[in-house]
Amino acid sequence: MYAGEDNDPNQFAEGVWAELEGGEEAYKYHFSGSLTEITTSNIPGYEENRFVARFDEVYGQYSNATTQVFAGRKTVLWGRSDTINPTDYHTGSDLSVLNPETRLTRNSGTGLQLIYRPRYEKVVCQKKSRGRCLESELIETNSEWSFDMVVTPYFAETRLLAGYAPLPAGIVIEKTERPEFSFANTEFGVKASYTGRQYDYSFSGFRGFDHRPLFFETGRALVGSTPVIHVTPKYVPVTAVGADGSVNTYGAVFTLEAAYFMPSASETGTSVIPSNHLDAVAGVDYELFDNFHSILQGIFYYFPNLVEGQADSDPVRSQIRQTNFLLVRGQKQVQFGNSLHLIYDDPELRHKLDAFVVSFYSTSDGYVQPKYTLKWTDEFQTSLGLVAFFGPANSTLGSLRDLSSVFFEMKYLF
Amino acid sequence: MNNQITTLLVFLAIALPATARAEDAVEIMKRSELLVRVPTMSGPAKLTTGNRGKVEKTKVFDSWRKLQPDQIHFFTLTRFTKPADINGEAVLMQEFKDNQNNVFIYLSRFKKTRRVEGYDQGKSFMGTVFSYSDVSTYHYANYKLKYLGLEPCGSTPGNCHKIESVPRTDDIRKRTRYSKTLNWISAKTGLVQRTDAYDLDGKLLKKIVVSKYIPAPGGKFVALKIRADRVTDGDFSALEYRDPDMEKEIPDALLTEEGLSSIP
Repeated sequence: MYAGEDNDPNQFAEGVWAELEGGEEAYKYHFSGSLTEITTSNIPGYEENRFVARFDEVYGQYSNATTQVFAGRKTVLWGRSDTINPTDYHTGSDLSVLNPETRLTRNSGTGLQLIYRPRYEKVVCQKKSRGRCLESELIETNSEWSFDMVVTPYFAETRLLAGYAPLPAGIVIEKTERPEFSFANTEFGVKASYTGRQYDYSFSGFRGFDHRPLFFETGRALVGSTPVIHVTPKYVPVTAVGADGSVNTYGAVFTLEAAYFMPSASETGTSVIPSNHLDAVAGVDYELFDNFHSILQGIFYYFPNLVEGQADSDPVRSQIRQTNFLLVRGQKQVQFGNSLHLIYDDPELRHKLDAFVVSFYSTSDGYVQPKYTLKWTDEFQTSLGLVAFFGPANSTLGSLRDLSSVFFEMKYLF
Repeated sequence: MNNQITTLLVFLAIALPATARAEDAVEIMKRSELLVRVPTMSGPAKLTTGNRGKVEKTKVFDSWRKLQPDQIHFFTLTRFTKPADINGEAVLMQEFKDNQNNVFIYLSRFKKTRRVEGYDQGKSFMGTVFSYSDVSTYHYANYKLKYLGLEPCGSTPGNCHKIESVPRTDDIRKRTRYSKTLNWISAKTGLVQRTDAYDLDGKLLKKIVVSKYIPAPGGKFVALKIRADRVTDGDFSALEYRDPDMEKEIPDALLTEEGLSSIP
């Protein structure tokens, strides 16, 4: 919720959220969703009032000794890093909801997920004496490897902030265009994971769409003597490979996650869409003292084919290009940044402090998001928080400065 | 020569009982550990925390615990149902040799599984007085044991063997954050009735009392009610299992990372 002067942008949301799950033996079901009314004032491009009925997750689950199958709408979130996950190919976000509460903003795809963990037989010594095995047994056990396959005919969209499109005047932004429902437009993701003792790693591959829509020019017309340009947000086909892992050593958990994205050449050839890029995050999660831990991460973006400062000869196309490159952080060939997440959660004192800050060196932008929660009872809690963007107006996060906000949240859970 | 034989005889007379007691301590703790090594256990449980007798918070969870093929270590999944703000959150603890444990937490709100530091077992378990080492399996072989005598158990009738457990290595000491524990083992049942844990400075930190055991298949027992009191600040936590099932087969798939985020 926003609060401020009469002309300041503000947003008020109230709603109910419900979760239900059950089932027998191998067959289970899960439902979680919400109904929210969002009232927005003084933010250009936003509807003033809207009801949002969200089916966060609605799926059935089948499981046996080796296999789990999920069918329906389900959140599939890959990656070991904190908050910024390069291998998160499957989810989307509704960025027009200004409350950073994940339950209100996360979008999930609808499809099928299959997880297979093989089993194998091994000889286990049951009775030992002086280092020699006297009695052994052949037992069946889980493999350390597991294989995850996700097929998504209807992928999760990211809804962009309405005001977040630094396009010139005279441009009409049309409704976002989804690819048509077809086998060719069905997303596929695969992941092979290994879990060892105190470490794990995985390799993943994905063929589908970038869930952040980018802008394409779809028409020009003259209204009187004024040229009007129509742009349509569309989803760019992309292929990606990635890897992630974590290891527990020296009293901390170290994580590494990276993905290399290859957008469709037919789209990148138009010069308004950024080409291949590597996104990587390396972090360390360390508990400073009881109930208080910190996650420090280094962030790296690399666009190997990017020529900095290159512009389209057409000024409008150049603006569209700039907007798109801003959306995917493609202004520079190499970008470094870091994030720090501090979490203090004392269940006995009922206080929780969660502060997240991210900043990028080369573009000098970032945001700070502290949130303090007081749990008055097990059921009732209030939170006060801030989302503050900073940086130059032509940077990815700096362009959102006007949407920096203070929010207050009340929750009753039962 | 005669003097030497006399000295040797006197030494044997004194030393033999002492050695026998040390062996007793090992045997008593080993037996106690085996008595509670129940192959599978699942069911609901309640965890209350408070201060000086006043209950402040109650957490309800389901747990699944299974002995692994090495017949020593356990995999345990704990999934919280109440209070509502942690509904669906789950902890998977996979114990391995030399404490190379995997601990994963599933954050249901974020739909995300996170690896957490699994080596330091002295940390609080879900914000309670219990530490991870308190809720994981005790292995007598990791400790130097000393028999301190037979004395009344205290809260339960009968006599108990009082045994001191001192970590064998500095590593175990640091990991558990205990310099030693004193254990009271019922002379009648062979089960641990009470444990006093001392911090790394040698000061009494907490008292853990098992007030109820129930029999399990194969002549084993399950601790049904356990209470831990931290003497330094009066905080306490009580763990109570309700009707645990010790016969139901727990699928191995449940005790994996994918099991952590699925509907059990």
